[in-house]
Amino acid sequence: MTAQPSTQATRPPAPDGSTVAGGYRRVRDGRRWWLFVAMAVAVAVVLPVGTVASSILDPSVDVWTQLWRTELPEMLVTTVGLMLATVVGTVAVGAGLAWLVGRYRFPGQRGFSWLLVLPLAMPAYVLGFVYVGLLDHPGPVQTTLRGWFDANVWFPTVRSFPMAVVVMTLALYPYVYLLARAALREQSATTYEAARVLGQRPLAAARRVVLPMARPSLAAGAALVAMETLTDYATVQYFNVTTVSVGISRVWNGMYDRNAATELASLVLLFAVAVIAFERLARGRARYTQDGSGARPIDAVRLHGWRAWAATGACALVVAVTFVVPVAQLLAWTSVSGMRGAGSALDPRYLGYLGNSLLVATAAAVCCAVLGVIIASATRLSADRTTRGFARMATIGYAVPGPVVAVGVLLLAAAADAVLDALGLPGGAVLVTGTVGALIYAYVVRFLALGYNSIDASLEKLPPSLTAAALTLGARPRAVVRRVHLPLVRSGVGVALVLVAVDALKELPVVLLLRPFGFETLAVWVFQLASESRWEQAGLPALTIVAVAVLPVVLLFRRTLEPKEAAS
Amino acid sequence: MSSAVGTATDVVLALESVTKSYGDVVAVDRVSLDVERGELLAVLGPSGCGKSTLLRSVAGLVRINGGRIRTGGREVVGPRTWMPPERRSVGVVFQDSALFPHLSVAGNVAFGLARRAPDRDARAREMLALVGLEQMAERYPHELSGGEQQRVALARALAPGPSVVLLDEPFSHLDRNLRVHVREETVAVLRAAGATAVLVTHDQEEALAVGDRIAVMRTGRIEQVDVPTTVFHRPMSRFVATFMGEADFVPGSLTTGRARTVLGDLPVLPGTTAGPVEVMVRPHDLEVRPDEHGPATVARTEFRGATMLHELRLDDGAVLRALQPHTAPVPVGTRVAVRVVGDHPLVTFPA
Repeated sequence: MTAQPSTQATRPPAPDGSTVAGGYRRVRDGRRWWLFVAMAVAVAVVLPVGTVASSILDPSVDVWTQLWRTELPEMLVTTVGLMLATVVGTVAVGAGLAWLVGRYRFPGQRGFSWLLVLPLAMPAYVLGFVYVGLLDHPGPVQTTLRGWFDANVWFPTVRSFPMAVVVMTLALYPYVYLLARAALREQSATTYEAARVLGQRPLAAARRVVLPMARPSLAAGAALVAMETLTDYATVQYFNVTTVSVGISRVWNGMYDRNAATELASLVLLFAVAVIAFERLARGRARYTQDGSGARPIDAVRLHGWRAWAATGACALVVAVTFVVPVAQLLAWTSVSGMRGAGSALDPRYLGYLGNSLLVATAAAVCCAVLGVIIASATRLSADRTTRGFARMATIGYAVPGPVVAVGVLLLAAAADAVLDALGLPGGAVLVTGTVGALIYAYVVRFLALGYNSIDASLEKLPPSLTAAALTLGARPRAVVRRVHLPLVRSGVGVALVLVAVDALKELPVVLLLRPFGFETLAVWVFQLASESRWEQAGLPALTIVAVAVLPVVLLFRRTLEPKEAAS
Repeated sequence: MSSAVGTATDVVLALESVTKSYGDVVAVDRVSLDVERGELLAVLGPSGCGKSTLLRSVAGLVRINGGRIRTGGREVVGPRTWMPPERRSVGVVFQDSALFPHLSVAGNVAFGLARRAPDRDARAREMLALVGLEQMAERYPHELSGGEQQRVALARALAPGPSVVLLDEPFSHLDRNLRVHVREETVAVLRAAGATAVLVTHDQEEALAVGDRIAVMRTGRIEQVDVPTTVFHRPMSRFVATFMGEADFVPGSLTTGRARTVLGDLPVLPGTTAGPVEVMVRPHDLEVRPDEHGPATVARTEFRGATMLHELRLDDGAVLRALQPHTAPVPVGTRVAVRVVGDHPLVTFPA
C-alpha cells in the first residue's frame, strides 16, 4: 500500500497483527484536544485564586502584625456584621415577597412577579449614591423637612452602618427572591396538599413542608448575597463602612502594598470558603428532587379587600424604593447637568468611557461564550469524569469575591512582567500588568461560570443521543460541535453573551483594582463622581449602566416568571 | 446448534470476551458473539441486563475494559486499539430516534454522507425512497409522526452504508398498535438494504418476530444464542425458559428418555442425566378437565379473551398454569385432571 501522507503517515507498525487502523487512529483522536483545552482553561481560572490561596498557607507575620495593630479587628467585625445583617434582611424580604407573589393572587401580582427582579439592574453602588444624595443633609428630603420644621429637625445618620445594610438589602434581595420563587413553583402541590389532608392548617403546612423544602434554595440565595457583600467595596464606602475588601483597595491603591493586599485578599477568600461551607451545612443532606417539570404548582389563593391592597402596596413600595425612585432621581440629576459640561451626553469623556466599557464587556462576553461552548461540548464528547472535573474547576471564579480574583491576576501579571523583564524584552515591566488584557482575563475568571452555565443548560436539554448519533454517522468531534451543538444552543450562547456583557459592564471592584492607568469605564467614573458627591454628573453614566442592565432582566426573567402564571 | 458457524469471511461483527464494568458493577461480562453478513440478531434481556451497554460498546459510545470487537474485518476495539465512534462505520438507530431538530428530513439523512460527495442528494433520496418517505424530504422532524421519525432515523443510519446497523429498543416508545407496524416495516427495509443488524429489546415477542437469531442476556452474560424456535422450545436455563414465555416446572425423576411426574410419564429431551429433575411445561402445553380424583385444584382463573388461564395448585403445593379455550372454563375450586397435550419432548433441568 502506498502511504497517503494525510491519513496514514503517522501509522505505527502493527506489533502483533492487531489492526493497524486502530493504531493510527489513536494518534489522531480529536478528543485529546478537547480535554487539553478544558484543562488549560481550568488551570487558567484556578491559577489566580490559587495564588491568593497559597498566601494563606504562608502568612507573613510582619504584615499581619501591622494589619492587626491598625484597622483589622474593626474591619473583621464590620465585615461579619454587614454580611449577617444583609443576609437576614435579604432572606426576609426576598423569601417574603416570593411567598406573597407565588402563593396569593392580588391586583398586579403577575406584573410584580417579574418587576420585583428589576433591582438586579440597579448596581448597589448606584442605589447607594442615589440614597445618599437624596437623604443626606444637603439633599432634598432633609432640606424639605427643615423647611417644614426647624433647622435642627432630627434625621437618622445617612452615612452609617444601618443605612449600608438597608441599601445592600434592597440591592441584593432579588437573588433570594429568584431562587425562592423557583423553589416555590417547582414544589408540587401534592406535597402541600398531603400536609393539609393530614390535618395541618395552611400556615402550619407552609412552615412544616414548604419552608423546609425551600431551604436549599434559600441557603443558596443567602450564599449569593453573602458573596456579593464580600465583593462590594464601593457602596460601603459611601456609608463610611470599612470592610476587609475596602481594606484591600486602600492598601493597594493608597500604599501599593502588595503584601498587605494579598494577605487581606486571602482573608476575604477564607470568608468566601466559610460562606460556601455554611451553604452546604444549611442545605444539609437534603437533595429535594421532585419529578418536577410537569408537577402542578400549589394553587394560588385569591386575596380580597384590604389584604389584597396591602399585598399590592407592599410590592409597589419595594419596586418604587429599589427602582422607580432611583431612576427618577437619576433622570432629574441628568436633566440638571444638561447636555453640556462634565457628565453630560456631549462630554467627550462620556463617549470615551462608554466605548471602554463596551470594549471590555464585549471582549469578556465573547471569550466566555467561546470557552463556554468548548468546555460544555468537551464534557459531552468525552463523557469521562476528568473533563467534568475540569469544567467544574473552570467555573469556580463565580464563587470567588471580585477583589480576590483581581489581586490574584495582579500577582500573576506582575510575575509575568518579571519574566519578560528578565528576558530583556523592551517595556516588559508594564506589558502585562498595565493592560486591558489582565482586566479581561480577570473577567473571564469571574464570569466564565455565567457563560458556561447558560450554554451547558441549553445543551443539557438536548438528548445525549444527538451527540452519539452525529458521531456514529462519522462526524468528527469538531464537526459535531459545528453542525449539531452550535445550531441547537444558539439561544444559550445568546443568553451567555448578554449575561456576561451586562455583568462585566456594571462590574466595579475588579475594574477599580485592575484598570490600566488612565483607563476609565462608566462604572469607574460613576464611582469617582459619586465619591466626590457630584451627583448630577454621575446621573447620566449611572442611568446608562442601569438601562443596559435592565435588558437581560426584561428579556430573561419576564419570560421565565410570567407565562407559567398565565397557564396556572 | 448455532447457525452462526459460517465461513470466516461472512462474519461482519465479532465480539470476543467483551467486558465492561462501572466500578464494581459488571455491566457486560465476557460476551462473545459473531454476526453474519445480512443477519438480524436480536439481543434480548430484562432492563439492566447490559444489552444496551453492549450495543453502545460496539458503536464506540462506551469504552470497554476488556476483549475485542471487530467490524467489517478490522479491529475497532482491542487491548491496544480504540477507534472512536465516528470512524467505526456503524449505524445506530436510537430509542428516541435522535433526529437533528434543526435539519430537514433530507438534511438528517444526508448528515453522514461526505459533504462534497457528488451523489449526496441522490443517495439521501434513495434512502428516503427505501423507507417510503420521499415526499417528506423537506419536512422537519417535529412535523413527523413517531413512526415516520423512526423510519427517517433508519434511513439516516443506513445512508453511509455502515457494515452493521445497531438498533437500541427502537420501537419501545411507540404505542402498541403502531409498534408492530413499524417493526415489520423496519425489518423489510433492513432486508431490502441487505443490512447486517443487531437489535436490542426487552420484549420477547419482538425478539421472536424479528430475529434470525436471538441472544438472551442476563446480568451481563449471554445465556443462549440460537434461532427463535430453539430458544423458545429448548431453553438452556430456567431463566431463558421463563423469560421467553410463561413456564412452570413440575418435579419428577428421570429415567431413560422419560420423566415420572404427577402429570404422568412425560417424554423429555436428552441432555439431563438421570435423577431428580424439573420438567418445563408451558400453559399451552396443558389441558385440564374436571376429575374428582385429579392431582390438582383450580386456584384462580384469569380471562384473556380467546383463552382462559387457569392457575392450578398441585397437592404438593406447586403451581402450574394451563390455557383453556374460553368456551371450556373450569370453575375455581374444582378438582381437575391435567394432561400434557402434544407429544413433543419436554425440556428438563436438574432439580
